[in-house]
Amino acid sequence: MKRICLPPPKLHSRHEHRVDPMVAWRRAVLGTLVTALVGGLMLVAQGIAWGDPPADVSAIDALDTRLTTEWTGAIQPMLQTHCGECHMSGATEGGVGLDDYASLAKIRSHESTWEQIRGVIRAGAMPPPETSTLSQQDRDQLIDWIQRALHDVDCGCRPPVPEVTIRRLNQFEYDNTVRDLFGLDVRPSKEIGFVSDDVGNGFDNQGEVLTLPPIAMEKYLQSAAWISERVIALEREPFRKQNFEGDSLRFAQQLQIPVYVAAGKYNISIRTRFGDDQKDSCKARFLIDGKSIEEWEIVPKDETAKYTFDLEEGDHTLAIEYSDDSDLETRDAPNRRLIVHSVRLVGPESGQPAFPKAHVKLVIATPEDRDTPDALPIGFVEATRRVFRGFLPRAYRRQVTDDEVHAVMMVCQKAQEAGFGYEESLRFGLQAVLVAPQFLYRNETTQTVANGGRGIDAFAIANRLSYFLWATMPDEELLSVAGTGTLHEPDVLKKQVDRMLKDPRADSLLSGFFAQWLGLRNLTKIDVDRDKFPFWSDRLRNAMVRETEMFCSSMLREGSIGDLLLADYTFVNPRLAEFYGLNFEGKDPSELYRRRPGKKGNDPRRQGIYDNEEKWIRVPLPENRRGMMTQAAVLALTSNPTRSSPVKRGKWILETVLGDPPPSAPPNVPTLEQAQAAEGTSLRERLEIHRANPSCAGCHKLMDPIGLGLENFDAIGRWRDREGSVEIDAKGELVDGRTFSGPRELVAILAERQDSMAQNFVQRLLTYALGRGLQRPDKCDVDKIMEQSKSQGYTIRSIVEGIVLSDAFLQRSTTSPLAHANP
Amino acid sequence: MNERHESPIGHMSPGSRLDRRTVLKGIGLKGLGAAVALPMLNQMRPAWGALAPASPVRLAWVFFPNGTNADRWIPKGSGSDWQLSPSLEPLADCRNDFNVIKGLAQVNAQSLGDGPGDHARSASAFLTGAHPYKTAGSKIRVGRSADQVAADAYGRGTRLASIELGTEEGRDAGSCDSGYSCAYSNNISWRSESLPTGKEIQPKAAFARLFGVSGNTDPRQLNMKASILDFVADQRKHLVDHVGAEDSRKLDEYFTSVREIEQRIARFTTPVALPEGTLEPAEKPSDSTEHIRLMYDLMVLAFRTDTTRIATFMLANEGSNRAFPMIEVKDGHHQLSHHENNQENIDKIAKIDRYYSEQFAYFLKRMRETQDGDGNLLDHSLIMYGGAITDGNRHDHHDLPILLAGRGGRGMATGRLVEYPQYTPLNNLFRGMLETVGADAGNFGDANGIISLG
Repeated sequence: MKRICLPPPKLHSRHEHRVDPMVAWRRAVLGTLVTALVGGLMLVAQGIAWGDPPADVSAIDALDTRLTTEWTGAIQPMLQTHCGECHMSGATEGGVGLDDYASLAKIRSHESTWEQIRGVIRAGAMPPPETSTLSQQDRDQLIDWIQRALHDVDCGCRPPVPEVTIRRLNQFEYDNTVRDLFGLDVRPSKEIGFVSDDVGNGFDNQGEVLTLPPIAMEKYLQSAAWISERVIALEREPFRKQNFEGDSLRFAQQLQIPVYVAAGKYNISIRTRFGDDQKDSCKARFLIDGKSIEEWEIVPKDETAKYTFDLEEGDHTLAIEYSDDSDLETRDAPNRRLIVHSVRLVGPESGQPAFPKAHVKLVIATPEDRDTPDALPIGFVEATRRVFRGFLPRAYRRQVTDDEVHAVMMVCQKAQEAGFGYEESLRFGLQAVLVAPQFLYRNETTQTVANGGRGIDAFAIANRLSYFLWATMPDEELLSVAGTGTLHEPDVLKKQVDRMLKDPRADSLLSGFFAQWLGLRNLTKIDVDRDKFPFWSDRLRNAMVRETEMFCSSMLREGSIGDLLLADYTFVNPRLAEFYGLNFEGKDPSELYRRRPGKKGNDPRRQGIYDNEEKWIRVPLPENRRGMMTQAAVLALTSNPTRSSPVKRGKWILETVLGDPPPSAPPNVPTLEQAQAAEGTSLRERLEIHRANPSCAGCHKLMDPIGLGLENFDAIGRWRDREGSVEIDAKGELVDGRTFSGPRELVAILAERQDSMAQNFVQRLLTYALGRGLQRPDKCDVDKIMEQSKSQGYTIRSIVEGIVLSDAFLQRSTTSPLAHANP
Repeated sequence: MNERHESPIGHMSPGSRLDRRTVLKGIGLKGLGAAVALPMLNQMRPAWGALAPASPVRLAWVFFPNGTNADRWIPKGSGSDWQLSPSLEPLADCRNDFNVIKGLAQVNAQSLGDGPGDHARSASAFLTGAHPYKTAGSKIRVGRSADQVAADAYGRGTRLASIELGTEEGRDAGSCDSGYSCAYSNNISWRSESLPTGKEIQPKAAFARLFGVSGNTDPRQLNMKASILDFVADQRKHLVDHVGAEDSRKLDEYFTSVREIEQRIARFTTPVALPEGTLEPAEKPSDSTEHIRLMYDLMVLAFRTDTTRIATFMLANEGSNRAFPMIEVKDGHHQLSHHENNQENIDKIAKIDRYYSEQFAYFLKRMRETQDGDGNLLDHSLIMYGGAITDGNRHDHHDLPILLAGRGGRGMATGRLVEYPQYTPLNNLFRGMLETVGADAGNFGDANGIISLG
């Protein structure tokens, strides 16, 4: 039988008399239809005409019926009694009025307002504690009702989910796609200076927020021209002399130059000097593909070394290395450097010069090619057809039509008619492709799937997978699996996820997902007070970000939600090891930093170098730190420039880790700094003064204890026992009564809320994967992913897999509106 | 302070390497050392061409975030009898070049039932007078901004209809302000109610965009560019299956942008003639004073060459927590703005206000020093300076700190303190500004009248 899921009936206040059920139903259908249209939903009423009366009115969404009954019987009267004076009958104290909520849909469409209402009621900040007569039982009932109204779904009767809006590639995806499309190591967004992408729902890959104003189009045009010049060479000649930028090398460092060459004899000139102000010399080595070719002496003046050698056609890596030093004592000194001014490669002396690799890959045909039976040249038109027939499916990341290829060929032809040569004409064709909507946007082809929803075809799935896990275009394997039409099968998908997570490209999730989820990007914007925290430097900041990213990388591949909080290891380089007070490869932290030669004092700013600063190792954490909450990056970004901020830290953990943000402070309520007190008052005492204000107390008792438990970490995350003259007291009690004696116990208590953490993580990662904010009906998918992942200990991998297999990920809209078949 | 910043574009900080600045194509590297005292900054040469004969009116809006220390910002007095406030003191030399306007409000920046999020609302309401729809991601809506109204009516004749500048990237993490998408806090210019115009924060990229450094004027190349845009405009039919309302809107956005660029290319085929020796700024300067002044320099140069007549500049994004170590303010601006009437914090806010005034004074002087038609650029401009929060602690959006510089090409009386009734919509002033360029927007946003600028 077909079950019909109806939209929720109108909410009645108890003052309103009942209307005829059929009238109510019609009104409700109409209301929902309007809401749905306003919401930009695509309504495909498959088999259910909107005007038809229901077959069985009693089959109205059970959840919504219950919510409605409760509203009328208890919730609305309760709000009237306890909130009415300030927020009803026209009153809108603090900008909040509760009069206008006549339907569940209306409440749900003002989710953030009702979340705030729930938050302040739960925290006890409202109704005003001085006068409130709301009993705890009623309070709980209110909170529970709002929670269910906003978030619960009858998954057997699921309302439609908004479609994923067509997504423009963001800067990161654009750069990665260009890189993989041409095999070019370039960052056009930086080179051209793209306008930054706006952020929505916490991420910069959200379809509706990725706009395209004219300025962005200008940048795309510029970028396309820039790329086309780098990909397509006009002639073979420029390849004969290649100049490469030099570098300044410290001992054991290498300058690597990847080249793609034709076969033949080559000459290389390497211009060097031993600096700065050195008297003696060092040795340099020249290597081809890791094999040593020559070693020679570098003296403290400019000199050019020249060598001749043969190369096979193809990719090679040329390298120059600071290989040996006569003075072992000082070889690591920062001013002892092998300066490579420039490198020039000339050749081949004999044999046919070649085009660059990206060119060879793209330009697979020329008008002069003769491969037809009549042995005549294939000509301009056929050559461009072959080039773009081959290229377009990769650029558009799907199968393309002949019309699409033809349109690009026409651009080339116009160029030819204007007198441009073949390669130049191809450049114009390439530019056209690179600004086409098919390239700049992720364009998905839909197909109807078994449960009546609108699925996406195999190529669209391949794209969703690759942009989710790699932030770039699908590779050949993914596209070829898509071509077989099996990509929607769970086993095939799982196999691909497994393969893709192993690939280094999955590291895009670190800067794409993890860094945004945790707010790490904000770390580049904070201005730490360098006088108070001399240890702070850009290098330290970068090391902190790197640490957390490496930690997340390890979580992604072998960790779980629990490990995120409780892991007893992390990754450090020597600078961070000293910062944390950890041994680094057997060396005591105090031995890691090498002062600048000639500098006196202890150099608190650490402007010199560490041995092996680029080396990262996995280390066990000291006793007082566990998991990401005690990592320096997290502690620093939740601080103010001049001091730590328990409030920010508490809020960050509730919001970012547990997905349970405290309600926002109303604008006119004084926050912490108001509690100005005599010098020597601890932050804890000042917070207590602040919490004495009842309207602040409710929310702050949620946040402050957590943040105060981390007070042993200063504004840049360093351990401290005292702040000034005041000893740090990191004991505390959470709002639920659980107590702790310091950061480690605090972390352990918070980790007991693993389900909340997992749910929050799933919601964030799903938001990132879909490129849209989650809606109430998405809860069905979230619950399913959670359930399946819980049985695997909430490993990150199992969550990723669950997302990829979810309806939300594999479909454009998850069910047809308000109706689906029930057996 | 900051004497050494007098000429940012030409200034070379000690120890900076030559490659910090590249030189415009065609100007040899050899002259770089000598070019340090720079024509771009010192451009009082009267015979400079490319000016439209009738000296067009230029409009600009400069925005600062987080409110002010209003007691020290808003001057006391009235008419021509008023005293510069402490925070506006750096503008003393320009006192007769601007009016301070009291009593204006942007009420749509208030919560109006939407709860917290005053920063996001204030930036997005600032030039639109519209109430932003509260959303973290979907259905972003506010309104069209005054500068874009002007751009449509008045900007067609110049190479760029308008320019939008800033100093901070929009790439934040998390929501920017209490459930509002970062698009709201990071943009004051709105091309349409759902489309932020975007802003340029890299001086180098802004320069390239304004003056077309890489612009090729070979007619064959330009024709091909037109062909590429033709091709692109014809691709809609290949975009399968996108019938959702938001999808259509996104694609409209794309094709509208394509069309605007097509028109621009068709109109302008010659490069902007820049004063000889003008340098192209290199990367984003690390010194924020230099950054701000470079952006002001670009505005002056753009106005002077009539490359555009309309500009907006966000000194920082709304809610910015930037510190100001150059004036010994090491706390973040946003953090300080919730000053809780703590004297130390209030003093620091005033310091920041004053700092911004100094930079603005630099801009006004540069405008005034630049000859334009029968007077100087300031004579032919209207530059509004202000924000949509009065006091960051109260988050109030009335009695806004607003200053209007320039004489609008009509000898508008300046040097006055003008007071309007409290809660007069800021949009009424925009209407007055738009009127000077013949752009009648009617009561857009919440305007309920017009402040005519005589």
